[in-house]
Amino acid sequence: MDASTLSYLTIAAMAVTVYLTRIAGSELMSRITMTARLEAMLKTMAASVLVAIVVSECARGGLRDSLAVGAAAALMLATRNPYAAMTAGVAAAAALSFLQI
Amino acid sequence: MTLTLKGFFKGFRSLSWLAVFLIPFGMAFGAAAVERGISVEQAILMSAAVFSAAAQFAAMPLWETGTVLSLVLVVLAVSTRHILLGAALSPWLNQISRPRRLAGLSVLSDPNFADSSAAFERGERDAGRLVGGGAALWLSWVAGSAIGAVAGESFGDLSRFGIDALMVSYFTAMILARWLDRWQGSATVLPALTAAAVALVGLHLLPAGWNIVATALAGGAVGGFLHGR
Repeated sequence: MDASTLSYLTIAAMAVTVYLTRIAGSELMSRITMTARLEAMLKTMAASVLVAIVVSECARGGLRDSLAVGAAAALMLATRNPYAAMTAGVAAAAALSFLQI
Repeated sequence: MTLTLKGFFKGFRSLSWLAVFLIPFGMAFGAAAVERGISVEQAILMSAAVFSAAAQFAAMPLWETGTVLSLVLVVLAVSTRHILLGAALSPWLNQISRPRRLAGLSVLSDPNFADSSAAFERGERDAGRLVGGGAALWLSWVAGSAIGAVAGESFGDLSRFGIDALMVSYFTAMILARWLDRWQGSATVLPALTAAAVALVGLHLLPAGWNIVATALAGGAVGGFLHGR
């Protein structure tokens, strides 16, 4: 097999792998009877994934990323507009980078 | 639960700004891929078919030296959290027909999960929201990858412009939006504190990506335990 064929094969294998993870959760749940408690679990899980991403990023990124998240949170609470929050987070991160924090 | 074009465009619009800022990330990937000896067409094809920044960046160090199996395992490791995202959306998504659901989930990623799950919890009942948001992200990811692969060099370090803080700021906003919409006292606070604690501990103890999985399961368990109490 030449290198180019192998590359295409690898890309296909990656694509199939990622696709299977995308459908696995809903396929699994379609075979399970939904109860109110299970639904509560899944909803909390959804919120927990987001908390996990943000906390991991702050822990990895240190002071700069944590302050950027703080700025985003403050703007979100003040305006309830996610785009205002994103702008604040990016602006804060850029400013802190400029100040070499 | 339906899947309509109207919902699709709602999702597309909702994530279109985020998608614009995703272009530099795509450029960074395209440039990195070409640097690894991947052809321009293959880099674009990979972004179109795999559509996962985490999986694609994780695969790069192994591209020249790894076997297909080792690449698949790395991709699987960083993609496991999709399984949880899909499960979390299942109370709504599993109400549409299976072929539509399986097609729509092909563009599932973190931002359109955050956007559509918040919309579904607010009472929207259109799975198009997930697909449209995913389409906006897909377009910019592929376009950015193409630009980066052709130009061969990205902006350099994105952190100078603060763009690396974009996604985390968006997810912060989505968490707060959820809390502002529906604050449930201890049923909100306890799972969030558990999630934060598990994420921090897991970050140091578990391989990359797995702390997100552990956190989701722990938070979900607390949520299930508190239900009805």
